[in-house]
Amino acid sequence: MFKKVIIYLLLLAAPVVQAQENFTVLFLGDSLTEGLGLEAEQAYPNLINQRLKSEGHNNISIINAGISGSTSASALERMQWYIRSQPDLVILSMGANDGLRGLNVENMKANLSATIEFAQSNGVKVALTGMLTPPNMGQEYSSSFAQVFPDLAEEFELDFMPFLLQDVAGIAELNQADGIHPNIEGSRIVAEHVYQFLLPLIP
Amino acid sequence: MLWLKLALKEITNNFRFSLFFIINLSIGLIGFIALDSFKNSIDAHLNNNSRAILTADAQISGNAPLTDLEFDLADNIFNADYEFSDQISFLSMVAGNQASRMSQLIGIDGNYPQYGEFVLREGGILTDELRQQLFSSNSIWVAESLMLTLGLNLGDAITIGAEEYIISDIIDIDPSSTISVMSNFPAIYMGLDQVAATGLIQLGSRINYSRFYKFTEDVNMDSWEDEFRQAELDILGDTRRISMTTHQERSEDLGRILAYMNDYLGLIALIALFLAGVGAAYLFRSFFTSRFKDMAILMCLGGTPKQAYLMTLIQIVLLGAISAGIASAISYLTMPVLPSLFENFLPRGFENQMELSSFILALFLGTIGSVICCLPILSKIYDLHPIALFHEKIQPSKSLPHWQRHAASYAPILIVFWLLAIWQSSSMLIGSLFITSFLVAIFTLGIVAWYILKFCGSFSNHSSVTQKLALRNLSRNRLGAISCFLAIGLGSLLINLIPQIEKGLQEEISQPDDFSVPDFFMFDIQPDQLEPLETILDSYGHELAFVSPQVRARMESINAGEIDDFEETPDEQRQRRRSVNLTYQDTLKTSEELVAGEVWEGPWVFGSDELPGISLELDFAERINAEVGDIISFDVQSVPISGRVMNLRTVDWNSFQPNFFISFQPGVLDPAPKTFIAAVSNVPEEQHLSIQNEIVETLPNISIINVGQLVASILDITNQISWGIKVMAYLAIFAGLVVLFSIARYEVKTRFWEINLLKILGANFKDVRTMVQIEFGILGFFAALVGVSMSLLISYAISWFIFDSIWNLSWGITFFSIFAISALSVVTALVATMSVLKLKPLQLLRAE
Repeated sequence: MFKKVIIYLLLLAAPVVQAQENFTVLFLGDSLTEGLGLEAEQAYPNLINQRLKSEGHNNISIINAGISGSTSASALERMQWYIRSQPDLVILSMGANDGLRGLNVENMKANLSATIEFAQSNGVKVALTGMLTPPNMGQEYSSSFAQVFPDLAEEFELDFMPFLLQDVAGIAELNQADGIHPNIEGSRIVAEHVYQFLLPLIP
Repeated sequence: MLWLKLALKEITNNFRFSLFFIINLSIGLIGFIALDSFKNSIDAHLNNNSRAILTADAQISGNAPLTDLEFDLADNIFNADYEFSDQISFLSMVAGNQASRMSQLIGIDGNYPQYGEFVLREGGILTDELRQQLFSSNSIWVAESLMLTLGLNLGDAITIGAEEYIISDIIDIDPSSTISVMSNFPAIYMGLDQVAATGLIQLGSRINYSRFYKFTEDVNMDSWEDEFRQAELDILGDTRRISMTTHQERSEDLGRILAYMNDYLGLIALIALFLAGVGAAYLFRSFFTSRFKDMAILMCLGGTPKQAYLMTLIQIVLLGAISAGIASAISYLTMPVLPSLFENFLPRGFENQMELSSFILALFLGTIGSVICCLPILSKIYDLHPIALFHEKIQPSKSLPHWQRHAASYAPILIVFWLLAIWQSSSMLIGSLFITSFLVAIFTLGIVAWYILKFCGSFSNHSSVTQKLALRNLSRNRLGAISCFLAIGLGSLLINLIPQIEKGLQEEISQPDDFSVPDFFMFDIQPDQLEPLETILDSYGHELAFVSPQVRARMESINAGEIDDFEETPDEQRQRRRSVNLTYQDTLKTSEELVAGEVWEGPWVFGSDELPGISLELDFAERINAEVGDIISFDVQSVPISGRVMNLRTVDWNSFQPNFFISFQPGVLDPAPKTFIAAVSNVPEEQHLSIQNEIVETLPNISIINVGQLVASILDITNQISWGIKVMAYLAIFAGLVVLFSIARYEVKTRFWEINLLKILGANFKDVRTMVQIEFGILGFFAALVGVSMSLLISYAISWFIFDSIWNLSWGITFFSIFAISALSVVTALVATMSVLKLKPLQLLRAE
C-alpha cells in the first residue's frame, strides 16, 4: 500500500492532482499562505478551496505551497518542484520575509522575476499579490520594497492584488499574538479578498 | 554548672587525648568547610557568567508595549525584590555617507547592563556619566561593522527614521551581542527616550519590548518559564504574547549543563557532609568507648546513668564545638588566600565565597551532630555495670540493650542526616536517594566485613605466628574492626563516587574529537547558491562544513494514527501544526550515536518494496512515542511521503553542528524544495567582516550568524564547569583521604594497650610492625575494595536517576582509590605505631 503511494507520488512526471480536475491553482507563498498558527483547513488557500467547492467549482484544485520563513530566494526552486503537478495558475505571494529581514529589494525583485519567467515559459498563468514592510524599517526601504510588486505586475502583465493583508494588517483583533499572522477571523478576510481576486482568473 | 565544670576538668585532665581528638576532628571539618565553600563559589561563579550573557537574571519580552498586567504576572512568579531595566529593539534601514544599511536599533535605560561588561572604544567601561551623555543628546553608539560598511567616522551623522544622530562612540564589547544571534545586523544603541523621535514606532511596526530583571537576593528560577507560560494561558488565554527567559535557560544546552552542574555540586555537598559525618561519628564513638571507665567510676560513686550521660555529652559537645571553632577559624583565614595561590588554575574573575551556612553546618556537625552520632552508644550506658571497672579493657555490655531504646537511639541520626541531605542537595529525590544508598552501603559493608573477618580467623591456622596474631586480632575484636572497616569502606565509597560521576559528565560536556569552533552558521542557502558561496569562502581560504539539506514538511501520522507529543501544549500544537524540518544523510554524523536499530546502507531505491528509512533522535522519538519499525507519514510540500523508523540515535548537542531530530535515507527527499544549513570554522577575526559583507552583497538572503562569540562564551562556561567538576572531584578525594587518615591514626592510638602488652611479652619491633601492617593492610584493602565497588554501583544509579544515564567507568581512579586508601591505612598505622613503639612500656602504662 505504502509502496504504491510513494511510487505514485514520486513519479515525478505524474500530476499530484487527480485527472478529472482540470484546473489547478498553486498558492506559492510563506507562513501567511501556510497558515502558521492555524489549523491546516483555516489557512486562506484552504478556505478558498472550501468555498469554491461549496459554490460548485468542482473542477478547481488547490495546492497550498506555503512554507513558513521562506524568502523570495526559494521561490524559483519551489516553482520548479510544483511545475510537476502542472498548475494552470500560480498565485505568487512571496516577499514578506524578505521585508521583515530587511533583505535587498533588488534581489527580491530578481528572484520574483525569475520565478515569474519560469512559470510563464512553462505555460502557467501568474497572478501576484503585493506586500508592505512594517514602518520601523524606514521610509526609504518601505517604499522601494512596496514598489517592487506593481513594477513586476506591470513588467510581466500580471493580474495584481496590491496588498495580501488588506484590512487585516495592523489590526490586533484580526491577528495572532505575534502581531503578524492573521488569526481565524483575519484569515477569513484574506480568503475573501483573494477569492474575489481569483474568481475572474478561473474557468 | 557542676556537670560543666566536671566535664571541663575531664578534658583538661586528659589534655593530650583531648588535643589529639580536637586536631583530628578539626582536620575533618576543615575538609568539609573547604568542599562546601568551594561548591558555593563555583556555583556563584557560573551563575554570574550565564547572567552576563543575558545581562540579567531574567527577562520578559513581547511584540507590544508591556502592560502592568504582564508585569504583575511576572511579579507573582518572582516573589522577590528586584531592579529592572527596560529596552526596546527593532530593525531599521539607516543611512549615512550616501549609503544605507539595515541595522538593529536598541534603546536602553540607565540600568543597562545589569550584568556583564559593556565597553566603548573611547569611553571605556560603561559608566553612569557615559549613559547620561547618550541620553541627553542626539548621540548614538554603533558597532564597528556599520562604520566600516558606510565609511563613517566618529562624529559623523546617521539618519535613522526622521532624525539625524551623531556617532559618539564605537562599541567594543557588547554583552548582549551574544543573545541577538538571530540578527545579521550591526547594533546601534540610543537612549530609550530618544527612540520615539525616530518616528519609526508606528502602528504595524515590528518592535521588541523587553524588561530585564536583577534580583537582590538568590532565587530559584528553575520552573519560572513554565509557570509564566501557564499564568499567561490562565489569565491572557494565550502563551505567545510575551515570553520569559531566565539566564539559566538562555541557551538550552548551557541550561542543561548548568543543571547537571547544580546537581553535581549538590552531590558534592552531600559527600562532604557524609564524609565529615563518618569521620566525626567514628571519632566520637571511639572517644565515647574510651570514656566508659570514667562512667563506670561515676556510677560506682552513686551517679545515675542519666548523670553519666550528661557529663559525657557535655564533654563531647565542648570538644566538638572547640574543633568546629578551630576548623572555622583556620578556614576563614586561609580560604581567601587560596585563589591568589592558584591564580593560574582558576577561571578569570573567580572569587572564593565563604557562606555562613558552611560554618554553621560545621558547628552543627561538631556539636549536635556529635551528640546524635553518639546516641546509639550512649544508650548502652544503661547496660553499664560498675563491675566493668575490673575488666582489662572496658567495653559496654555485649548483650543487646533493650531493642526499642536502641532503635530509637538511631532514629535521630537517620532523620537529621536525611533532612540535611535534602537541604544540601536542594532536592527531596536526591537527598532521599542518597541516604537510602548510604544505608544500603552500611548494611552491605557490615555483612561483608563480618564474613571477611570471620574468614581471617579460620585462615589464621595456616599462618606464621605474627600473621596468626594479626588475623586472630581482627577476628576476635570483630566489632571494633567492623566499625573501622565501615568507616574506611564508607570513606572509600564517598571518595570514589564523585570521580566516577565526573568522568561521565566530562565526556558529556566535552566536544567531539573532530570539533572545531564554528565562526559562522549559515541558513537559507538555496541549492543554486552553494557553489557561489563555496567560491567566496574559497577565496578566503575556507571551506563550507556540515552542509545539511533542510526540507520543510508536516508530520501527519504514526502508524496511520494520531501523534501524541506530551510535551506540547494544545497551543503549541496549533502553532507548530506539526511542521518539522527534515534532512537526509548517507550515514550518522560524528556527533550522533546509534542507540537502536541499524543504519541504512546506500540510498533508497525508487520502486523498492521497502519503505525508505527514517532515523529519529532518541528524546524526540520518546516524545512522539515512536519506536524502530514504526511508519511515519509526512506531507512534504503537498506530497505525502512515508518512511519506516530504521534507527534511533543520540545527538551530542555540544558539537555545535547542524543536527536534526528526523533524518531520511537519501533517495527520497532529494528532489524536494530545500535549503541548506552550513557552518564555517577557523575564520580569523580580521576576515569576519569582509566575508560577511561579501556574502550579504552577493547572496543577500543567506542568514549569516556570527556564532563565534556565542560559542566562545558557552565553551568558556562549559570549560569552567568542566574545571569545577574536576577540581571538586580531586578535593573530594583529598578531603576523604584526610578523614581516613584521622580514622586510621586514631585506630592505632587506641591500640596502645595491646601494643604495650606485646612489647612486655617480648615481641620485637619488626613483629609488631608486621602485625600492624597485616591488620591495617587487610582492613584498608578490603574496605577500599568493597567501598569502591559499591561506589561504582551507586554512581551508576545516581547517573541513571539524575544525569540522564551519563556514566563512564574510570578504571584509573578506581584502582588509584583502592591503592591509595590501602596504602594510606597501612602507612598511617605504621607511622602511628612507630611513635608508640618508641615509648617505654612504663610510659605507656602511665599514659593509659
